[in-house]
Amino acid sequence: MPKEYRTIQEVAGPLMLIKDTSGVTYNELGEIELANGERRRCKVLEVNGSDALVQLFENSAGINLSDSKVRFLGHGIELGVSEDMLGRVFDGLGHPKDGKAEIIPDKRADINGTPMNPAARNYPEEFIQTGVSAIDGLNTLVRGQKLPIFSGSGLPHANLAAQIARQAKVRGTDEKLPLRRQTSLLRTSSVPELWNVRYCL
Amino acid sequence: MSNKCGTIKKVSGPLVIASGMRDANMYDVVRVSSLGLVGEIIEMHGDEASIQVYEETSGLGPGEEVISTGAPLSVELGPGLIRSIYDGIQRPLDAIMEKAGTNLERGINVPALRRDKIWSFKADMTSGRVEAGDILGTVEETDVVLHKIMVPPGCAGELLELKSGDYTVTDTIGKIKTDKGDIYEITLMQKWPVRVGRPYREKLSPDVPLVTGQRVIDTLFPIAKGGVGTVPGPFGSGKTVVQHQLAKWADADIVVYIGCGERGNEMTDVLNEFPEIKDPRTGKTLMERTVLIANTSDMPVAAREASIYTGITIAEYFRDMGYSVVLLADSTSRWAEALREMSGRLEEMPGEEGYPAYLGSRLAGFYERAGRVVSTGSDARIGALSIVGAVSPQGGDISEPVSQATLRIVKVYWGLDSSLAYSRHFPAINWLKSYSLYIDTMEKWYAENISPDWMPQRHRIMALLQEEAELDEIVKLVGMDALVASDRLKLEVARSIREDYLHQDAFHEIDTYASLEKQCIMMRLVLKFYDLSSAALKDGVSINKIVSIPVRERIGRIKYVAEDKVEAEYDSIVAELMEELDALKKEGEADA
Repeated sequence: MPKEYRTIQEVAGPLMLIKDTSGVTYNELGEIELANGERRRCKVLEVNGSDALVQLFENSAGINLSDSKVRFLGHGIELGVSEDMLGRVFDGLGHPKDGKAEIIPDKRADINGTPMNPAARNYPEEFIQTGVSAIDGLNTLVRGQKLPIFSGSGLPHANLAAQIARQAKVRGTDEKLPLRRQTSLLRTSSVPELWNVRYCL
Repeated sequence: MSNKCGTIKKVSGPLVIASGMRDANMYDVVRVSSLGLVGEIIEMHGDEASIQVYEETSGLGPGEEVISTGAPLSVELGPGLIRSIYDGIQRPLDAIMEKAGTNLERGINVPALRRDKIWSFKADMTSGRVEAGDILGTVEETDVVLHKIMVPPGCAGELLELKSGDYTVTDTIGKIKTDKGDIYEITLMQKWPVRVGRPYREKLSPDVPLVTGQRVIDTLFPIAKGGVGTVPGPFGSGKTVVQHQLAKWADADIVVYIGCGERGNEMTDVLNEFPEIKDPRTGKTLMERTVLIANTSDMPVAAREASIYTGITIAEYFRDMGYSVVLLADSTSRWAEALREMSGRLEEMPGEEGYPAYLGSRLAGFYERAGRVVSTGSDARIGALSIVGAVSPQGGDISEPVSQATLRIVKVYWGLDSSLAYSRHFPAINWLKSYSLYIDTMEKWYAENISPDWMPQRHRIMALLQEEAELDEIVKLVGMDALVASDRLKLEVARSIREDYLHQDAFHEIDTYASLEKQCIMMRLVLKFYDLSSAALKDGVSINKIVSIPVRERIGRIKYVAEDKVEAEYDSIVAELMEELDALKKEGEADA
């Protein structure tokens, strides 16, 4: 059972300082329990002696310096992963958003991953056909590349991304990427900014 | 050892502060926590040391141990460097891949030079007095590189024994009785701290060009052996292609390529391509002379700061052997950003755009390690280390601090231009913005080794390009038709210089490299066209007819002619040119 701290010293915006902690590590995930039982998540940004500075993933409304409790979970932000995630929709912390059941994870993976060894990379050279002529003809997408879509407000970038996801296939193979082979992560704008946890499988 | 052991007090990203470190030295390498993460002490306050950790620090907390190794961050120098790919602190990425798979785990400890590889060492001497830097013998490292084993800096005395034979890098190959009376055991490998420049005897004036085979560089903005240059350019303007072209074609003995905070796939490109491309001078593949340092954008940021020092120390080691070495750093902006990140964590006073106030002096300290030098050692070898650093200014605006600090130091500036890149003019080096301050010192070399015409021709070409820019302004105001015929001819010739001469296709088998001789002939051809056409213009031939003569097609295609056929092609084109202009002249006279 991890220690519970009731020593929140300061809350300022998304940052919170907790005094007199011990055994807290950098990048560790923490959980705040409010007086009413609600739980929120946070991440350690800095540990300095017995002080821990954490970043809240949700808003700080309702946090009380004397009643709220903080627990550190002993690991970084992890995500349970499983093949069953294909075809499902999740929020930024890996909870289902499609109304179906939680998945049973095969293993838990750190969301930050580890850097890839440059010596182990293959040069990307497999052409991905997206069916969007402006991309295939002029700015070809290659398997293994990363591709940001730059957009302004009011432009249909989401449609384009969905179209690529739906149609993309590698030429010369039958590989397709239909929706049931894809895992969706949604972050709606109503969720706080800091919730945009990255996802790596 | 125990007195060098401290405990973690604070963790903030790559910065760890440890207490109980009074006995450690500044810039000592430390091992942090039970994972054994590598770090370096960068500040000391009382018994607290600020440590930059070269690996991801997630999961570290106060109370864990920090052990000083008592030695500064050093690189291993010896046979086995060539063809290697290292990370920022000289860990061999290919060996790590064998050990740990495709991703980089934390706390991996693999020696930089393979300990099990046997090298055949040939001794040049067996006894006598030796000074630091003297060559004791050689190891044939690759088909191209003869690795010279030198007496390490700071060591001099009587050579007691030295034997040829097969050794690993750590075996003792001989002994030196130093002047202090100690016995020094010589190995094939030596170590050197990366933040200290290796000693040399004397710096020489950089008056020999580094031939790159790239026309716009060799002709207009040449860089000297031992010189420093920079390639700033916005994203997509071809910085990396220019750097790759230099790595491929520069007439250096050794190339050290540092991929610093750039895409991983670009390193893969180098790794895939270099073993395939043949060096035109040796006939062997380019990989046989290349050392790669990779700290791609997803690798830890603190090691990025170290990577350029690791690279330059390896480069200096080969320079000391008397080789001409080129160091390419892509990109120094990512390095400066790593510096900024550490500086922010250290809560230092930020300077311009958040970069630390010492950005300029750190950059200068790096670039100043270049030079053409007389090495230590009694045979006074001459080696050269040239540096070309790419800078990626945001939005292509070079008024930002990294570009400005770099420009204060370097003497060659190849300004890449996104509008040129957009109009498919590659290499997109803008001829009006760029400069080289080595031209005057190298004039003599060109005159003696290539042709006395070289510099006069180069100056004429540059003048034509500048006049084109001025005339373009006029054309914008009053239109092309208002120009006198001689000015229209100038514009046509300038266009020909741009399209037929400066434009060079990096992916064309022949055009990718042009020797200085070929460049000289091509320059002569363009200027010949200008001179003959000017004469024809004076004889009354109409400008419209001159610009549309068929031979211009052949002038444009001479860049695709193989090196050994260029001279014949030149003669044949000039003959045809004269014939066609004569025909026009006669036609004109008949009309009159």
